[in-house]
Amino acid sequence: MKETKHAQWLPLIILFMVAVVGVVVYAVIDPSTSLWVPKCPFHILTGWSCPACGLQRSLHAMLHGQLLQALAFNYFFIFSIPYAIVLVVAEVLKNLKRGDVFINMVHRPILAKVYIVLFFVWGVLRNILDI
Amino acid sequence: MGFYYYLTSNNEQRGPIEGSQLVANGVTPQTLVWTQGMEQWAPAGSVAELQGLFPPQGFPASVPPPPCNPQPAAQPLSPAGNNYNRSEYVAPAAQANPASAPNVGSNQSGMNMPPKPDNNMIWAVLCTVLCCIPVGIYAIICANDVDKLYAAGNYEGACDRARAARTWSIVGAVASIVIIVFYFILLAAGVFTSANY
Repeated sequence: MKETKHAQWLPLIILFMVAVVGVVVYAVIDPSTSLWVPKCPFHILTGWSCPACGLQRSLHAMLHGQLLQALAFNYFFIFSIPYAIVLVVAEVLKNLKRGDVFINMVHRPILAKVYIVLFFVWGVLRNILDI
Repeated sequence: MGFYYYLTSNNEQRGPIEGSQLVANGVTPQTLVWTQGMEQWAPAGSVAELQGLFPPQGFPASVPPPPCNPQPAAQPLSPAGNNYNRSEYVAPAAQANPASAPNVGSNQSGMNMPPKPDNNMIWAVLCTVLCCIPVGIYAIICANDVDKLYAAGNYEGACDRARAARTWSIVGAVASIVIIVFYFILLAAGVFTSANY
């Protein structure tokens, strides 16, 4: 029983460690000028921006307090970052065995559908409008 | 003939009523019934004592359910689909305490099923935000099916899709690591010379 309890926290612990490393790396390195962070393979191959392009630059700007600049790198983050955050919160609550109302709200299928649709609409729009 | 409990198409438990009165109360061969001595709820058509109540050409209890309603929370499913799916699951309460009618409505959709499997949506979404996008999108679709199938009463299907969502999220994460390593190999080889994304 104890092992399963530990196991359910493992993915969140890995996520937390990745986040800590990410914050340190992107606070120090500016992806706009440095080669030392990976570039989007989709952009390299096609020249188009993928729906998630701008994540690293956005994170760098965010960590330097330039919130508007951070948003301008990828406007889809207005929706996707909060969505990801509430999903993480719901996952933590689930492991703590509480907050059922909140978890059910976050896991409504309509949210995932909106997310997928906006994801592709944004991916097309940003290349047409060059944003 | 003994007294039976039965479930209405709205998943409400009714009874007990005399077995011979079941048909008069709208019980069909697909309606789930329970009486003392039965281990779990079962379609009325499959209960030996009730066989005589229904004409022989009655709808067999094992027909596959009609296509699932995508929003079962908002609209109840057709009774046939509901009953078929419910009949697959053993109510734990029914086994633990056969002296009283098994508890129904133990979850939000009012069906006797194990708790909803984790849909792994979080990892699928993080996959599209942070990792390999195409597999992440597929993982979200899988994760979204979990709640749908569960609400429609298909527990096994929901578990399958939950596993698929997890698997594809892991695939996405591994693919991203491979891409990052590959990038640094190319970088070391001198392929990249400008920081253009």
